[in-house]
Amino acid sequence: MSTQDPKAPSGASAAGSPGPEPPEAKAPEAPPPPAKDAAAATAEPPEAQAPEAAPPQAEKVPEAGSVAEGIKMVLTVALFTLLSGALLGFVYRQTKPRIEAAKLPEKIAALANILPEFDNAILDTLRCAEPDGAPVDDKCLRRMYTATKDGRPVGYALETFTTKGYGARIDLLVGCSADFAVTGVYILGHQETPGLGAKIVEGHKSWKDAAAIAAPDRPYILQFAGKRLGEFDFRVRKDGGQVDAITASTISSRAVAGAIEQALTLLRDRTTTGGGGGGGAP
Amino acid sequence: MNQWQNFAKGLWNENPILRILLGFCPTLAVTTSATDAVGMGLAATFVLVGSNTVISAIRKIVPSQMRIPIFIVVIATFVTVVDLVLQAYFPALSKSLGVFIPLIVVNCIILGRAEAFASKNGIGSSFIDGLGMGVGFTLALLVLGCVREILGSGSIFGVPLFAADVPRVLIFVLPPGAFLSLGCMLWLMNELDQRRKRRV
Repeated sequence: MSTQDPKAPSGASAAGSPGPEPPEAKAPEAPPPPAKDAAAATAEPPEAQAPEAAPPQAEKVPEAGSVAEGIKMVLTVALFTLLSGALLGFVYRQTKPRIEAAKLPEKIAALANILPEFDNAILDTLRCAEPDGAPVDDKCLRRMYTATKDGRPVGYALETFTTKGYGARIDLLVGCSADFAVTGVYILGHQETPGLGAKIVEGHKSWKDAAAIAAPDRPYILQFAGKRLGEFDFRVRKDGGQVDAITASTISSRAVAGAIEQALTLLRDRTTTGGGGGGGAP
Repeated sequence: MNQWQNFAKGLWNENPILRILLGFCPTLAVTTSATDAVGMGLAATFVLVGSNTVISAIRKIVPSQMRIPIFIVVIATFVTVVDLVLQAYFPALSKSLGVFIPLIVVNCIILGRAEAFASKNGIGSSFIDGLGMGVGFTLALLVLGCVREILGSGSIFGVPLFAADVPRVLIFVLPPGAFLSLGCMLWLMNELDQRRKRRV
């Protein structure tokens, strides 16, 4: 056994071979060494068990053991996952109102940026756009805001999302004027690739900056300024549309453009038909 | 080994970043400012202390083949708690640390301590070990964060140090600056250690 141990590592590792067996290591034929390795590998377990093979052996015993052992493992993992789930559910419920409150200042600033100038308390105009007229709670998928000035509607904003991005879902706020031309898009949250798809957020706070929107090298998101349904093809150029995609981030670009188009459609349906014309937007 | 030594080993002799060289991903990524560095350090410390304590408490009922998945579940639970709490109470910090908070799950320091220490030692020792390692991690991040923020942004904890016309060495807040400063820190650390050994 003690002679077998040093032999096994030298057969397996290239570093050990130069000493005793240089001709074999240099030989061009591939078959001999693997055959030797295989032989060594199969020969090792039954012979060299005592000193070094002890730790793996100790782990193998219960594995080869009874079904009860397996059931115990499954139950232990299930138990811990269950406890963890319960704890997380509790923490989530406790922190959710605070998290939403913490996001509010950002949302207010974003609404002011992506909508035409308004003078109403816009947060009070919140209603559910999908499902239409549903109470604004967890089950409400898309929410809309109405901006008015001197009592007349000047624009609408939709808090929406898309699951077609490269990462997790992309949450965004889409703002448009009363005649449904895009006035701004704000990315509330995303997990696109940093350096590539994450560029969808570039410039999303610059909707009041006419120079930035007009610049030829403007960020991706600003190209939607003033775009309307019907007049502009919200598909990326690769798909035959008019949207300039972010380099190497077609999926993110396509997802955001699609979400904007969908938002405009939904806002139009919800306002021009008095909210009754549902079913139009998929 | 008494509890003080158990705590202090994380600060110098077994400092997770400067000695064991673990957890470099957050180290390099979030030390662009001192505030972010401390935030990340404290978040990781909380996770380390929590996971070390729980893993030590359950070490006798966890089947050895299933230990890694269970450790990960425990760690991921603590990380998610930290993530939610930060989002609720420190939204600015949560936003600037971004994806690196969820990524604490795969920080090698945490699983490393679970496997190397907490699964073999008592609850009290594991708690202290987690605290020591966490504080050591935080201090290393803080030093790196201060160096990078002072040189790169000319401020410390967001407070400007120089007049606006003093040039900033921008590279220090960019990724290469992280590698440069970390390299210098490791060199300094080894130098100090060798001098100490020579004297002894």
